[in-house]
Order: sequence, then structure tokens, then C-alpha cells
Amino acid sequence: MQNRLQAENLPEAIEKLLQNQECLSYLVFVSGDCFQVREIYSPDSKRILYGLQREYSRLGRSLVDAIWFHHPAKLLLVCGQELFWSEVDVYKCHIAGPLFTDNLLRIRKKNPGGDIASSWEFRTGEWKKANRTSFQKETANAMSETEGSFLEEVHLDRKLRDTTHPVFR
Amino acid sequence: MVNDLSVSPFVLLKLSMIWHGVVLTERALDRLQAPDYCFGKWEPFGLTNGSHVKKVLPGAILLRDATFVHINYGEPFTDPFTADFDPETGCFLLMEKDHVIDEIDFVPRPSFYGKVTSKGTPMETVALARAQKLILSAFQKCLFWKNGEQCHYCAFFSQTKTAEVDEEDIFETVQEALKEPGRYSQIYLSGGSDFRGDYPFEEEIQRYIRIFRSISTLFQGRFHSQLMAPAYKKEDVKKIYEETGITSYCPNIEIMDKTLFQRLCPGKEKWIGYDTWIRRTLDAVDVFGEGNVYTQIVAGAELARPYGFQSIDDALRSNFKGCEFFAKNGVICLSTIWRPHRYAKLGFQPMPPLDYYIRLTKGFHEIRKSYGLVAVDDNYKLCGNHPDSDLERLDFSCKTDCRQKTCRKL
Ligand code: SF4
Repeated sequence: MQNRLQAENLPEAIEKLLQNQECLSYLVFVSGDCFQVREIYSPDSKRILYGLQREYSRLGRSLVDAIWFHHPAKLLLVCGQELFWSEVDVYKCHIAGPLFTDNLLRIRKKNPGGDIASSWEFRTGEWKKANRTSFQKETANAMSETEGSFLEEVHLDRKLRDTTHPVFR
Repeated sequence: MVNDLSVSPFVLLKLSMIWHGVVLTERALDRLQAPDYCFGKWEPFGLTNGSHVKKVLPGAILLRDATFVHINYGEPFTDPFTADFDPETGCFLLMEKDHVIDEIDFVPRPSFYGKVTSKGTPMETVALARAQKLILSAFQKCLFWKNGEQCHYCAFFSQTKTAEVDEEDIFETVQEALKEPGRYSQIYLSGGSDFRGDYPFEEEIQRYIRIFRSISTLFQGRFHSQLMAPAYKKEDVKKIYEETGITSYCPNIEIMDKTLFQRLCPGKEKWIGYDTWIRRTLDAVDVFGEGNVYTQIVAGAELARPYGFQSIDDALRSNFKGCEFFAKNGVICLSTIWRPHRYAKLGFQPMPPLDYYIRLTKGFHEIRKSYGLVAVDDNYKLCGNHPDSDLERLDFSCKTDCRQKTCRKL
């Protein structure tokens, strides 16, 4: 197994920023592609989860490239003029199981019609503070999460005929 | 472990794992008896795994990138990987002797397991679950076996007692399964071949229509679903498409070479025939649309003794030619890996070398990509049986016309 970042406790300040609705999050990949991402949080004060909307997208491809070829990415948290960033190990892709369900239900709680294609687990390293201008180029050109997507991905329980669900009984 | 830097290391690992096999340590097996992982005691496809252990065997393995790896646990592998559980980290580990290869996981237990239908049928005898796929079997026997006309690589249904599955049981199982949020992206229906009826397969076709029609009442419009069945006449395929909400159809050719098909698939040859099978597969594209008709080969069986190709180059040539022919006609042709099984006519014999599977995986992926075809209904998540479609995860873009083909109305 290659050397990977361990799931260490997140600094308290970073946890707070992750919960702050005013902060913007960005993922920057080795290709230089940068995406503004919304559904990002920590389920356990260690790991970070990101709910990807569409896998057949430029962002979906970047995540796959990062996990397959162990290409590190960067996670930026921007709050006002402050910017914190850390190197990110794109560690795991969840398509079922407790972390996937946690991520999905969290999204559906906010938006009952919401869905995610997969949940990506990141492990972060040391968090660094920087001036917002240091990532100006990346964030100014940030793409949307669904950039280049060509297929809407919806779980079958979102295609049911009626909302008197659980399945009409 | 093989190394090919141009291919996903997870796909290489998957091929290696299927090729070498995986055995579970007692520690792993104990952890897998817990309610979050414990799988069903029954196997709706009657595939006997030859295990001597009393514990319930788990679902398939999921690699860190969610690549799906189906292992026939309990087979007598000669040089297998080991799946262990590390109580300290709470993680499963894939080991090669004492060396940790990577963290792995298993398909979680679906919530309908352990439940029964209103008729008292255990739901796990009706359906199987993968990470995102609900697999239903409508007919748990294959009538080709009756006269010894089964496919020579097949070990399905060698142990099942009953044939027809109660249709209400299937409906109730689907209802129950869909209560689990975000657990399924596709419903897949299949079963053993049943050629009975006023014309060959008539009863089977009617059965599939009835089952899919009742499931369709749960949905608004079409829903991601696949029927894996013989190559039916165009009018029957049309009926299936029009009377149900299904989105894709998969008549599997299994063996690409005509002479080998006729030898290794005597039931299919007798009841349909190689040329007709291919013609009907192409006809189905007129009904389902390009990119929504699939077929697959059981890769490796074409090299098995005594009839198979003498060289892997000949086998690759035959398979690539077929894959390209299908792609040209809007059919997605995939490979699945042949695992020799002692209940099959071909018996237990060595598989072709791993290098064969790597070349085949890359070749199939490249061919389909050059035609702008994306296996959205048979990808790493909705299926997981095809290493070549696992590779599509880096192909986020495709031709404009393919977008229309694959992004059909759901
Ligand atoms: S059609 Fe062939 S592969 Fe399918 S169940 Fe029957 S014998 Fe087995």
C-alpha cells in the first residue's frame, strides 16, 4: 500500500469553517482544474466527505484520476479574505454503506428531492493559512460541479411514482 | 501483482483477484457475520461456491474506488489473496502473503435480507443485491440443462430445486428493497432459459413482461433497468419495451466465434442459432436505441480445452472483431471473466493468463470509446462485472450523438 495520509483529527477551526455556510470550498486537481464544491463536511471530525452529484462529469473524472493514480488534490476553504488549504488524499469512493448513506441523508434533509451519485472520502494533511490572492487564478476560473456532465444520476427511490413512499405502504 | 501504468491499478487488482481468487480469514469471516455485512443464506442463481464453512459468506468485495470484485469464495484457489480484518482500525485488508495490498470493503447487507414476503418466502431467495444493483431472478432453472444442452461454462442453477419464482414475491421484494434510501440505481431481471410456449420462449417472454409491468407501476416513467435474456424476435422485444418501463436489454452472445458458440452453447444454438442471435441483437437497437442494447462474452471460455483457440492472439482477434462489429451497430459489447467451475461441463481447468484479460479489457474499452459508446447501464456501479467498463470512469466526455444515445428519456 502506498504511503497515504492518515485520518487525523481536524483542527477545530477547520471544522468550524466546514460548517460555516458563508465559506466557499474549492477542489484543485493536479491538472489545474478547480471546482467550487458545495456538499462537503466531516462526519466524524477526521475524514471529509464530498457528495458528488454527477459522475459523468469533469469533476467525476478528476476524482477518479486522483484516486486511481494517487494524484494529490488541494482543498481550499475561503471565508471572506481568509483562505485555508490542505493537501487532500482522495482516499475512498463510497456508493453504499454507512458513510454514503450519511452523506445522502444529510443532503436529502436539506432538500428532500436531492441526490448524490457517490460520496468521496478525503483525508487531509496539515492545514495552512494563506491570503486569498494566492489561489486567485484557480478560484477565479473555478468550474461548477456539474461541468461537462451528460447524464443525470438519480437513485431509483427518487424515481418512484408517488411520495407516499415508503413504497406506497 | 501485475503492473500496467496505463490502466487503473484498481482494475488490474480486480483482474488479479478474480484470477488468483481470495480466501477469507476466520477473523474476516467473523466480522462479516455482523448485521451490517451478513449476506443471505440462499443464492437466487443457485451458484454453489463449494465452501465447507458453516458461516454465511459475504457479498462481493468493493475496492477503495468502489470497483466491484465478485469472488466465488470457497473455490480451491491455488495461490489466492487473503482478505483479513484488522480489529484495531476496523478495516478489512487485502493481503498477499504478509504484505498489505490495500484496504477493501464488502457490499453491505441490504435491508430486505432477513425479511419474508406475505406468502412467507424469504426475500433473499428472490433477489440479490450489489452495491447499487437489485438483481431478480424470475426462473431458477435453465431448461437447457434438461437435455444436456447447457452452455459448457455454466454452473448456474445446478443446485436449485424450484423453477418459477412467485411474481408477487418479486414485486413485494422490490417494494421492500426500495425503502432503503439511495441503495439502488438499477433493477436487473434475468433467469435460466425457458423455451416453453406456443413458439420458443413465449412463456418466458410473457413472464418477463408481467414482472416488469408490475414493477413499472411503482415508477413515474421509465426507470434504470435491464433485462438479460435470450435474443428474442423484434416484435417481442418491441412488446417488452412498450409494455414495461425498462431501459436496456442484454442478449448475451457469450462466445464470439461462430464455431465455438455452436459447440459451447448447444442450447442457444438449437433454439435460436448464432446468426439469428446476432441479427436479433442488432434489431433490438431499433427498439431500445443505440447504446441501450448490450451483449457480453464470457472471456476465457473461448480458450478452454478441448475446443478453444490455440493462441490468445487468435482469441483476441475474434473478440475484438466482434466487439467492433457490435459497436458499429450501436450495441455495447462487454467482457466478463470466465471462472472455471467444477459443476460446469468445461470443469475446473486453468484460466488463460492474466495478460490476456488485461489486453482484452483495454481493447474492448478502446473500441467502444472510438464509437462514442458509454456503458451507463453496465458500469462499475450499476453492474461491476466488466473490467472494460470500469475503465470508462475517465471518459467523462463522449461524442455529441452518443450523448443523445445514452441520455435517453428516463
Ligand atoms: S442459458 Fe446458458 S449460461 Fe444461461 S443459465 Fe442456461 S446454460 Fe447457463
